[in-house]
Amino acid sequence: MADFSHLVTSKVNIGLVQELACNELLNILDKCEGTKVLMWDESLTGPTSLIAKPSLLKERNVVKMFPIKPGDLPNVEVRNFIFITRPNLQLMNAIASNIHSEERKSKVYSKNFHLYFMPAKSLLCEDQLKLKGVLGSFQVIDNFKCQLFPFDSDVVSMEYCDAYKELYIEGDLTCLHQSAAALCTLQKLYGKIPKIVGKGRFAEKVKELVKTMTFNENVGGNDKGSIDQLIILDRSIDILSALATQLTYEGLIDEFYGINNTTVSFPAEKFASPSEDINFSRVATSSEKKQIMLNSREELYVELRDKNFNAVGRVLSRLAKFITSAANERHGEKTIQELKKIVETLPKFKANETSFSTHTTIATLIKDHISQYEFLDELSCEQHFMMCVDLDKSNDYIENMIYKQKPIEKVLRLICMQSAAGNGLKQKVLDSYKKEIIHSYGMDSLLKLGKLEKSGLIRIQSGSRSYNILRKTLNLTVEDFEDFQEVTPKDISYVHSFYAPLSIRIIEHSMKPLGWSGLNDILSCIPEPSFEDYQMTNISSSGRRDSLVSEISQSDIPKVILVFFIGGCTFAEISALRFLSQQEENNVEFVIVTTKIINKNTFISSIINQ
Amino acid sequence: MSLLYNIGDWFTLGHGNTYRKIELYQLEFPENINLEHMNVFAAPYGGPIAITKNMKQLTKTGSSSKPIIYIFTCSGHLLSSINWNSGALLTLGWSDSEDLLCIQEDGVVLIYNIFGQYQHKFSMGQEAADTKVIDAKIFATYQATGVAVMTTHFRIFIVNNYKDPKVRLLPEIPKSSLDPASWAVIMEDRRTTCLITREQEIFKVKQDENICTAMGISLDFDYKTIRFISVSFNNRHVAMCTNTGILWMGSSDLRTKYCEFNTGRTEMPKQMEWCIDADDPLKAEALVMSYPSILLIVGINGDSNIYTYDPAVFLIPEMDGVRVLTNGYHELVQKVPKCVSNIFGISISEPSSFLFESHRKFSERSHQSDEYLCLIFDKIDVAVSECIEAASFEFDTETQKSLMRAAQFGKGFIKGHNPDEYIQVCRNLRVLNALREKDIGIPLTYYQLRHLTPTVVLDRLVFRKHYGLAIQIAKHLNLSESRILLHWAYHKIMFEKNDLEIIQKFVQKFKDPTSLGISFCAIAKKAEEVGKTDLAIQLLELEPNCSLQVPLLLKLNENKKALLAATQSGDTNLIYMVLMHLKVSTPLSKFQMIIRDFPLAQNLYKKYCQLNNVKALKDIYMQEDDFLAQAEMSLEEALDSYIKLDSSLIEISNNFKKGHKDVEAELSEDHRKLMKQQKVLEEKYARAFYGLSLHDTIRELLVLGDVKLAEKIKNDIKMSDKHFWYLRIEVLGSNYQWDELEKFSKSKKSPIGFEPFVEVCLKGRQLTEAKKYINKCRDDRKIIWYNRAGLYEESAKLAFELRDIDSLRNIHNAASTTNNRELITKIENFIAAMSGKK
Repeated sequence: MADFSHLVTSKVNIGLVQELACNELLNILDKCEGTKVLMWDESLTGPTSLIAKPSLLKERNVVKMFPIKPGDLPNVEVRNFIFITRPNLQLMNAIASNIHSEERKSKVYSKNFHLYFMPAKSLLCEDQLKLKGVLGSFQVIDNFKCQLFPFDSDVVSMEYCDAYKELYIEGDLTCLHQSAAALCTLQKLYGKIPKIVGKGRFAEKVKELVKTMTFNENVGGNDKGSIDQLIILDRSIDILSALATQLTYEGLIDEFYGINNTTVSFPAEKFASPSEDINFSRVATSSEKKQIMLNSREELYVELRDKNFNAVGRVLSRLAKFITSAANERHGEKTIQELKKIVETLPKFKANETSFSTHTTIATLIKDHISQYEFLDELSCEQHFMMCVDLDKSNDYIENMIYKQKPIEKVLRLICMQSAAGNGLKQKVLDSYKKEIIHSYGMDSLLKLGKLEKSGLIRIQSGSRSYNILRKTLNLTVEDFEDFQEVTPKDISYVHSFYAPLSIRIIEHSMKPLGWSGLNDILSCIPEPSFEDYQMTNISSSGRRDSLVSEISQSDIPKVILVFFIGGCTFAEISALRFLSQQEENNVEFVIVTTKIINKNTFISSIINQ
Repeated sequence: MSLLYNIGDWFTLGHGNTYRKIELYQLEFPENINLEHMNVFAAPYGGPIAITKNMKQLTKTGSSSKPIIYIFTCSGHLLSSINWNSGALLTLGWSDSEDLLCIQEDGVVLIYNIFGQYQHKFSMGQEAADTKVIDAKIFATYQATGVAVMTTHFRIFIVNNYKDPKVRLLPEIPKSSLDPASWAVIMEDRRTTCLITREQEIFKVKQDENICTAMGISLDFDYKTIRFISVSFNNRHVAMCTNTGILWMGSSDLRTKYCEFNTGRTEMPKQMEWCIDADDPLKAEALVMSYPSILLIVGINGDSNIYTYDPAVFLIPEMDGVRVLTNGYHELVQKVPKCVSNIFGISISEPSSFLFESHRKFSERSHQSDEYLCLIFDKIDVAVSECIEAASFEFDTETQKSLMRAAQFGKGFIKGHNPDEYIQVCRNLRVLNALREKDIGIPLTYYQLRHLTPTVVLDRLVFRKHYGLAIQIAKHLNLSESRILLHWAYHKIMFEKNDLEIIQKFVQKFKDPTSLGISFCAIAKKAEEVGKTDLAIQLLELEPNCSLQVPLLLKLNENKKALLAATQSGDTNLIYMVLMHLKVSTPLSKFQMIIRDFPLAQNLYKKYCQLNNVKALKDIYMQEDDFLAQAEMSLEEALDSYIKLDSSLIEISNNFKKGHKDVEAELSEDHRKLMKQQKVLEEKYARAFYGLSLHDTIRELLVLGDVKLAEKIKNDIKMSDKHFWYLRIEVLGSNYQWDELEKFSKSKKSPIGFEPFVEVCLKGRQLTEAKKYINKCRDDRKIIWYNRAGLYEESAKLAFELRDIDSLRNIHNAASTTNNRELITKIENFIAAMSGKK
């Protein structure tokens, strides 16, 4: 957690995003003199660790940090309490109760309160504070302008939790405006993006907003920046990939253990010291969780993260052999020089070995999970849907799950997948599912179903079966599937073993000579607008066309494409994009920006839960 | 080398101190204005000049007619006039932003702009009003313009910034039967200080200090009273004149005396102003004194020069000289800058002088040019930059040109000459010359331009409505034009009558407002301020940035337009702003009607209501006939307690029905029936049933063994057979009732096949039982279940029979963990056999 060097590796330096946010935060701290306590909106504590080192906060007299909770403020002797929060009315009530209790406690009013909204002030919240009579108690009410959190050298997240729900159920488009603002921030950092393409009505709206904002604020001047193209996609155009079980290493870790802001917790007892002669100090403590940070700073993780899980074992066993042979070598007789060399490589060797043992443990944990019959049955059920098998009748497996009262999220996920694959469910099928669910889980599940219907994740069949059409035209399910493709993949479909996420297939196709316009026909079966737009006229001709040489050398520089997902994207999709950029024929680098990283579990629960 | 060039008006005060008089303009005042009977109040930096009848003469004649104040430019062009109709006028003065401050005897200060338009007024306090003011001074502080007044009781009140008038009283001077003879304001340590003379005494009073310091000066000559005191423009030097006509010149702290001078005149000078050296403002050089028909210039070394003038002479101090105004002429007296005298001075042999001469000879095609050049070849860079510098001090364009040409000629001989200075001076000279034109009449010097900064000068031009010139200058100096355009727009809004024309003009001028830095919103705000509401609305529509429109539209009460702009901007915070405003300003029904047309706004309002006002949300749903939402809302509310749920299920069911959600309606109705039954069950079994789902209710009954009742409820509430079967199997299994299970399996054809049977058996670890059911499964499923049961041998056999080599391989993998060598070999044989056949 100490440094952010891993953000800087690619052509578009994501470190700038971190610096920008960090400076914003430090500005806030510098503005307030004396000792201070930071009161965080709990949902922000994780993301904030991605932008500022704890030591930096300490240097600035931050004594402690607490989550915002209703009731008394923590008893700390400091002058200043700085609240940093998303504009959320419930939290406003909590903050108001904090201040009320503080006012009751001390007659002499000695503490200073500061309130910062991230990313921007909200009138509604200020109104709420006024209503509670505490608006005047704050010395400062201002913005903490931080829209983006750097996850890795190619991944940035807005950590906007309920984007899909807000957009599709509540009809609240706040997230589009913030997305556009975030894209403008990126343009301020990396220069104007000349070309914008995308699919989906919200994507189109974001594009319009980005264009007006760029124009109004005169962002980036007239020079093209380091990003060549922006692709904006609505999550709704490819629901199936959001719901599908990810079969990449990183995706599986996320689905079973939940990666939050690049950090994941495992049961600590599994991580007992693997070989005692190497590291005595690592004794598994009785505390329940072991936190591990997963990002590209760890070499081995970079190699593993995007692999299909079936390939992970091979990498690990290869490494095991290497480590053993290296360790054996050490025991053999050596000259002083040779020994010296070994000693020099020792720290790196040790780091590798720790990393190796960690990932072996994680892989074992995952393996246990995925060998469960339940997992396999569920997987085979969803794979049937992906192959468009028996979409028009009630699925026995789903029904059995209902009868067994399995967690309703799992049931609903599979129903949503059936609906997505079949462009909706037959009325009869849906009605029967509804009935069985209500009978099994009770009346409150009716509300959950209602939300899914409103969001379009479950609907009555209508129109052409676009998924089945696209499955054939875009080759989404690879027919002659062989095991080795998981290990040495030739196609992005490896991320779900044989299914290629539509979202990424679209991006892959847009890089072909016909480009985005060539895709329009294919995508016409999805009834959402598709667009191709330019923020700068005629880049190619206004660019340097003086000599042939410069053209050639320019084409050697990889194109940078910014992919923006409205409503979240999965680790498998990220892996698929990384896979694409590694293919030699695609001279391209991707930067992925998403409202939030999602998986099948978090996506469904964010929609059906309050 | 001596050159007679443009030095006709040069004069010296002692060795090396050369001064010059530069004629700025020839003036022709209107006939009714004769400066002899007038008072002149001029603003520094070539600002406007206010002229009015001499107030003292006025009171003498006792005329009751109110005075007229005329405002002229420096070139004598009448800008405006004010028919004074307020109280008794004492004195006038100009502020740093060119506002005219008019001070009345009652201590009221009225402020006008250069067009004679009244701005506002303030008072110097009740005490000043009560005791009457006898004299007033307007002075420049470091950041603003202040006013000091002296009352008939000789108390001094000051205001340090007329824009933010806070009246302060200065300390009192010691009482005496004699009246003070003169006073002056001076800035000391950033604080306003007054020097007051009485007889031979000098008192210093300072703001925020409660003491009055008595000071004195020593004079060789005899005198009775110090009658006149004057402070230099930069507050560093002080001059005093006694009743005997003796002049004392010294530093402002009165500690250093530069010189004592006998004017030989007992009449008091009308004005006395320091002429500051532009090259070195710390050094005092000369004092300019005006008497009727006479101008006396005294150097600090005691040399003096007398000029005869018109009867009326007025002095206007500047930061680098003194302007002299008479009926016919407007002149500038200044010390000749070093660079200028180095070129044009008499008997001068400076490099720049030679360069100038060389160029002159060159243009005369004379070979002497080269000779001059040879003399200075090693110092040519100094010569060039001195020529450039000198040009910047000249007012005569021909002289400017010849100096610049000399510089241009000279720089040809310098390798790698940096032309920045040359360009800068050229640019600035163009600006200065344009400003000095008679039509504009702002005779700035190069120093003054630099001190004011071009931006301020542009503002002054704009204020005088010289928009064209301002734009030209802004373009020429690469400054932002947006302020000028904005002012122009403001002006149009305020004075043009036809709204349509205004808009057309704006559209024409501001084709690309963003790149010009123009905001239509700002212009609209101005229109709103002057009450042109319609124009403001039309202008707002031109604003491309929706988010800027919203607050002003709300202010204009254009609620619908505001809502539209807010929704277009996509900024939900703005939409909330409009919603909040609408909610308090319009009746609820109208509010709801308005937001109906804006789905996004309505959605946001609904969301807001969900948290703050559920009743209002219900109203909306009712109004919109959104039955589904109503149903879901009541359901959500009812989920808190079973009793509530029970009672509202009819309504919920009805609403679902109206919302065309038949299944939901039916299910709600069924659930109501179920709850009815549950009440009965609770009584019968004394157990909690109320609120359970159908599944749980039936399961509970099955566990209790009441299969009949369970079946009845199943039929009443229409649970599917499959579901019921599953429940029965599951309960039998978990009760370890394997025989009953088997009996049940044979009771009817199973609607869910036999796999659930296998599953419960395996769960209960009953392999033998499980086998019975596996046999009844479909062949391909059999392999799976054998595997899951760990019966690899059976599954391998079956797979072999079915020629399913993939399954065999899987079985082999799974079986390898068992360590059962025999079994493994068997499977391997199967595989070998099949591969062999292939």
